Formats: sequence, structure tokens, C-alpha cells
Amino acid sequence: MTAVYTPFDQGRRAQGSFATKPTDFTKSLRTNVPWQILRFVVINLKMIRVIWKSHH
Amino acid sequence: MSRPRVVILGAGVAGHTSAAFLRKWLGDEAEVTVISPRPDYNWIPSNIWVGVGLLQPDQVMFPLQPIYQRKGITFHQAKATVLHPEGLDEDRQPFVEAESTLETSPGLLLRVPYDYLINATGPKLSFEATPGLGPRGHSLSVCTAPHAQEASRALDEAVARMKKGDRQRFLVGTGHGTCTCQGAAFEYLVNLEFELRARGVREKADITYLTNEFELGDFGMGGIHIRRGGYVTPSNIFTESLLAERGLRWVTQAHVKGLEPGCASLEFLNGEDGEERFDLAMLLPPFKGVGLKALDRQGADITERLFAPSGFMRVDADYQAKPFEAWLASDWPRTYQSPAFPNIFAAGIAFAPPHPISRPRQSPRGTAITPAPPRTGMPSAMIGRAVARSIYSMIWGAKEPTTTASMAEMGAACVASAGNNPFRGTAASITVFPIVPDFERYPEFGRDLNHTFGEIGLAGHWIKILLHHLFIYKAKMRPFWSFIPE
Ligand SMILES: Cc1cc2nc3c(=O)[nH]c(=O)nc-3n(C[C@H](O)[C@H](O)[C@H](O)COP(=O)(O)OP(=O)(O)OC[C@H]3O[C@@H](n4cnc5c(N)ncnc54)[C@H](O)[C@@H]3O)c2cc1C
Repeated sequence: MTAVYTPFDQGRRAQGSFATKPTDFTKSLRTNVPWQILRFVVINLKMIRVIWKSHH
Repeated sequence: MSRPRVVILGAGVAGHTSAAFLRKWLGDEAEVTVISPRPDYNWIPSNIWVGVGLLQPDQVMFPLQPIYQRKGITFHQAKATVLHPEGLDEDRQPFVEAESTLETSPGLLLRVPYDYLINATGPKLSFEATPGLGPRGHSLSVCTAPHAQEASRALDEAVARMKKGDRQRFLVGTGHGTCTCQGAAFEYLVNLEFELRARGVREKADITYLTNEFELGDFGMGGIHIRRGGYVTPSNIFTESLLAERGLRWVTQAHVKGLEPGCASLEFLNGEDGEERFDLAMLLPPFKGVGLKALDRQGADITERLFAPSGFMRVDADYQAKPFEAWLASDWPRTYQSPAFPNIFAAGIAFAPPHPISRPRQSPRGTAITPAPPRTGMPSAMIGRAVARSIYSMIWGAKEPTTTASMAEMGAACVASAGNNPFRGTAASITVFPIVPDFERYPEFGRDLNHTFGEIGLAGHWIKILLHHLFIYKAKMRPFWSFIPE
């Protein structure tokens, strides 16, 4: 096992500082209503595709 | 000839789906009977919102008896205990023994004869595997609606303390090295954080995610890969990002050895010990089979022929022990028929998986610290439906099960709530195909990346709300219920 995954408390700052973080723009899109209405349609289509593929 | 009798043990996602479709397809051609110890149906995924005080238990539960009565399904509120698949010497009719859980006749023994049996008894919540774990010990749970309501009350008390100025430590995750259902723990974690923000006390909270996963984003499925921004990115990157963005701390590779009030003792995969202190802990238990027994017609115990040591039922899977590298998609069951008795099937969590999906690992002391394979709502319902279809065909003369639903051949769509609010809430919408990776078909990542996808946003939250209402509508078997997919 390598040190990278050591589970001991490295302190929140050390732990989080290696993580990918969303930009403010990405975060704002997540709750932007017009954009999310579009995503609602797209995600539903993607899910229906997987459901369809699973049933056939 | 009398009508064939199909008996279903359990009225959860799998059992209720089987019962509903059998009744629809068979009409009056067969008797459909459900045996289940609780009077209510519980839409378990929404328990998360009960656990943070946003829903009441009666919004995620409804009584089964009126629905079964309306549809002509016989319902026994009872706990199945013993299967008699050969009947008795004097009468070879197979039957199930069950103990009534009605308040008016507790413990009354029932004998329910069957021609076909579906075991859909789900998991036993095995809190006793970790000393001090669970609502009777020192931690909370959201696995049932009453547990979730208790968690919500404890959260209110913690918030009251924070409003008085105290800091509070929250520990959320898995309470044993072999837990599954990390998705549920994860949902509770992010919903808790969202709710603490909504109640204006977030800065007084230290929140830790404690998990038996080797790394974040494993979810008992060995993680998934998603195409995004010109890269194929593993789920641990997204999961880590989600936690880091919310200021949440995480502890991975942990087995909980025991809980004392306010303290969890841990053993890590590298063999070291540790502890986590908390004011409120919501830790999931590991799952086992519910402990059904089986007897032959002379009364000899044949439980081992039907069930694995975990208590889950053996079905048409390849249970031969083999190393991770030798695991195949074809090890996973397709028809869920018992190899011992062709008229017995298992559906949902009740079937014994051939092996985990994530790579198995243990500490130098031999403690298994590795997630068990998840069996979420969609596969449980699809298996319930497939088994019902096979039984329908067999009643009409088919010699073998006709319908398959392998978790290595089906995908899953899943929406994990990350905060409940119509305009500020978000959820991660995820699709995977197939659920169990198939490295023969998809050599690099084990899954079809055209159908494996994930995205977080408000749209996911709207879908989650929609699914909550759709699935409760479907479970109530209201008009056109069968058009709603599993
Ligand atoms: C908190 C939480 C959140 C979740 N969130 C999601 C999610 O967002 N999406 C998702 O897809 N999945 C989710 N899941 C998983 C999902 O709930 C399960 O996949 C699903 O409930 C499994 O269905 P089942 O029918 O096998 O078991 P269950 O739904 O547990 O049903 C088992 C049934 O058997 C009955 N029973 C038990 N013992 C006996 C006995 N001896 N005799 C007769 N009957 C018996 C029980 O009372 C119950 O009616 C979540 C799980 C939890 C715990």
C-alpha cells in the first residue's frame, strides 16, 4: 500500500487540497434553472436509453 | 386441478414488484400470496430525507393490506422462518412456515403451501456484527423509516446544541469492514451537510465520512469511469471533489471494531488502529440473509443446500471460489432459480452474489475491509419482474425459467440526492452499464462508456423528486402503474 491512500488524519486542508474543485462558473450552472431544464431532458433521455438497453 | 399457488416472501422492492406483475399477468389463473412481517411498504431511498427531517415516515410508507385486497393478492403479516421444499413424509406439498407479527396474534404459526416460491426477504440489518453499533447501541441508522425518524430527532438536538454555541462532530458512513450500500451513507452525508447549512449552523460542524472503501467513489462496484472534458476519469476524483468542495473530511479503508458512547474504534487496512470521536454517528450495518431455515421431508436440516453461509439464497451463480483476476461476468446469476429446487427463486438482495464486485482486501490481521456488492432498487425490481415472468411461463408449461436479468448484463440508473431544495438542491444522476463490470466485453474499464455517465445538478434533484412520486404511485398499483419502468 502506498502512502497516498493512508487513511490517517492528514488535516482537512491537506486532504482537500489535492482534490479537483469546480470553478464558480461550473457551480453556478448546477443550479441555473434554464440550463438545468435542458439537463433534465438530456439526463432523462440518457437514463431511458440505459433502461431500454437493460430490458432488451 | 386447483389453481397454482405462488408465495412471495417479502414485500420490499423485489417482492412487491414480483407480486404486482404476477397478479397482472396471471389474472385469476393463480393464487398470489405475500408474506411479510411489516404491515407497510417503505420506499427506502427516501428514508434519507426522513433522516434529515424533511419528510415524515408516512410520506415514505403506506399500508399494504388495502392494495393487496384491491388486487386480489393474499397478504399474511408474518415472518417466514422455515422452508419445507419437499413437504412432509405424509404430505409432499411444499410449504413455508411463518410466525404471525399481527398484534392480535403474535407468534401464531402459519403453514402456507406453495407451488412456486420467491424469496425476496432482502437483508437482515446486522448491527450485532459490530459491538455498540446501531440505534440500540451508540449510533443511528436510516435503513428503516423509524430509524430515520430517530436520526432526524438526534439531528434536531445536535442543531439545538450548535445554536447554543457548541461544536458538534458528525460521523457518517459504514459501521463494519464488509458493509455495502455506501451510496446511501454518502447521500445521508451530503444531505446532512446541506441541511446544516440551511439551518445556519454549518460552521459549528465537523463532518467526517468513514468508509470501508479502498478509495472514495468505489461504492462497492469497484468504482466507475466517466468520459468528461477529454479524459476518462474515475469516480474517486468526482467523489473527492464533492467532499472537498463541501469541506467534508474522509477516512477510507476502515473497519469499525466497536462503538462506545461518542467514540468509534477502528482497524485500518494497513493493520493500524485508530479512533474517531463523534457527537452524532450514522453508520450503516453490514447485511446478511434473514436467516431462513430449510428442512427436508423427514425434518433434517437442509439449510446449507439452499443458502450460503451469509444467509443469502444460492441461485444459478458460479460460487466456485476464485481470485479477483479470474472473476467473470458470467459468474453472476441470470434466472435466480435455486439449483436445489426448481420451483424456488430469490430476488433482490436475498440472492447470494457469487463474489464481491470490488477487489477483496484484508488487513494483516485478516479482517476483511472491502465493500460487499450493492443490489440497488433498479436491479432488485428488474430481478423481481424477471423471476415473476419465468414463473408465469412455467405455470403455462415452460420447463425452465424463460426470463433473465443478470446484473452483468443490465445497467442501472441511480440518482443520489446531495441536498433537497426545489431551486438550490442538487443530486448526482448516474448511469452505469453494466452494473457488474464485464472485462471480456469492455476490456479497459469493464463498462460501456457510452452508457456510463454522471452529472451533478438541480435537474438530478428534480428527477429524484419525480422518482419518489412515480415509484410510490407504481407501488400503490394505481392506473397504468405497469408502464412506469423499474
Ligand atoms: C437508506 C437507504 C437508501 C437507499 N437508497 C437507494 C437509492 O437511492 N436508489 C436505489 O436504487 N437503491 C437504494 N437503496 C437500496 C434499496 O433500498 C434496495 O436495493 C432495495 O430495497 C432492495 O430490495 P429488496 O426487495 O431486495 O429488499 P427490501 O426492500 O429490504 O425488502 C425486503 C422485504 O422482506 C421482508 N422480510 C424480511 N424478513 C422477512 C421474513 N423472514 N419473511 C418474510 N418477509 C421478510 C421485509 O420486511 C421487506 O418487506 C437504499 C437503501 C438504503 C438502506
